Amino acid sequence: MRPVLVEIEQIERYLLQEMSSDELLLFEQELKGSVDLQEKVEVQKIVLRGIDRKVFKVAASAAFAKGLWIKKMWWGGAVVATSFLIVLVVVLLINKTKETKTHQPQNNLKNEQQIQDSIPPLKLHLSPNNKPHPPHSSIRDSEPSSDSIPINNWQEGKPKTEQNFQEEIKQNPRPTNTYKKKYDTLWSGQSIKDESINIVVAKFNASIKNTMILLADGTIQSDLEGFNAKLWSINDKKTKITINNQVYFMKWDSANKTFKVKLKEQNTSYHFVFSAGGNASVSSGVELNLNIKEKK
Amino acid sequence: MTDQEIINILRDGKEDKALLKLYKFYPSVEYFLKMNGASKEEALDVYQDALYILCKKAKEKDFKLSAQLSTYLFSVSKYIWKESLIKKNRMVPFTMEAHEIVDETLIVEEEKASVAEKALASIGEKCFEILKAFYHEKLNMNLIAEAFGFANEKSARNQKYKCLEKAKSEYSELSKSK
Repeated sequence: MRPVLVEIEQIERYLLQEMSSDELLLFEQELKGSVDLQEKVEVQKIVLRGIDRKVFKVAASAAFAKGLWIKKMWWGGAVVATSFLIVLVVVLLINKTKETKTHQPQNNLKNEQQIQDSIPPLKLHLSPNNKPHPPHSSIRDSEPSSDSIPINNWQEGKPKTEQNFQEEIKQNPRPTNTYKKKYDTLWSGQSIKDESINIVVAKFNASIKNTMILLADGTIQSDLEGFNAKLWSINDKKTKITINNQVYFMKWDSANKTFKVKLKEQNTSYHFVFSAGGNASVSSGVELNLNIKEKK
Repeated sequence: MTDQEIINILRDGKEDKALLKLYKFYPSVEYFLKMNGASKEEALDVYQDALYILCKKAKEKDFKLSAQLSTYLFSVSKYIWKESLIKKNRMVPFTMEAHEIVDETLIVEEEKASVAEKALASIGEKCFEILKAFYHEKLNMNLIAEAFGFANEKSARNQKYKCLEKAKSEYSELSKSK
């Protein structure tokens, strides 16, 4: 009887088809005549298949787990995306609600007078001849202050007439960067002291009737193009101004079309919202983000 | 991806990729098996047996897909589960349809291989890894000796035969008890 190891190796080479043709012929002859050898070959064949099968099962289980993981990740991703959308919608709705409330002062402010009493930082006047204003005049003063200048005098050096202003507006009926550049030039000689800033609101005949364009000191960064979507009319009675979410009431100086706001901090971004009081169906305001810097 | 494309992937030896695609047919098989007495684990086991049979068949030169892959896997799974119920002396609550006739010889062979698979689970992890390295990964004995820390190729070869003998012995024992 041949050694066990030699026999196993022979069966192995037979099953793995590694035998030479002569060796195969001899082995097959031996196989035909030996039931014992046939059984050994069969068992070894099954064990080899068992190895293959066991390896396959491991791979199949891994693929199944991976498939489940991908499925979970997909659903997880879908859930996260949906949650994000829901949160986004809720945030937008909240912001929209806040915005609406901002434009409805009567509903939100019980005592307007109290609020008006608490607005010392807000001043209403126009800077004369590019000089800084002392922050003393009351925001509730509807009369033009003595140092205010009319809109047609907003020029550097020589006066700009109302007629010229209207002609410019006709040529450029909507607020654009062109306007911004003009006003930048207009205010180039101005400076800010006492941490105050002039905000000028000019009325003009734009394609949107009764709209206002909020213009700012040359040190204010603004994007006039963005205004188009956010222009509202301001009536000449009560105007609510929200600065950094704090609400104030002030009267619109229809003669000078100006507000003066004293800001406490320099190098700070301020968010202004102007809105009209009174008949809400007519109005509402101008919104602008301003970055206040001291001009050298 | 079409059925034939999946078969081609299997023939290219990219089983992992094909398996991911083949599991998309599993939910209907799992549902059927569960409805007919299989546990979740049994259902998965049966389906993996069917997948293995498909993979083996797909690599045969003369294999031609005569039905949809989903139908093939469903039928084979159904047959395997039927045989399993019969062996356990349990009632078979369904019948095989005429178009569901599968290669019974192949499935009988797989049943034996399934016993061998169980036998291999009892020879120890290292033994199985040695056999796997030689028979499945086709590594030569020098590499196996190095990988498994044997002194030389001869020692590795001796160990491999011992492991094989152990597996055969376990298989024989398990076969007798069946």
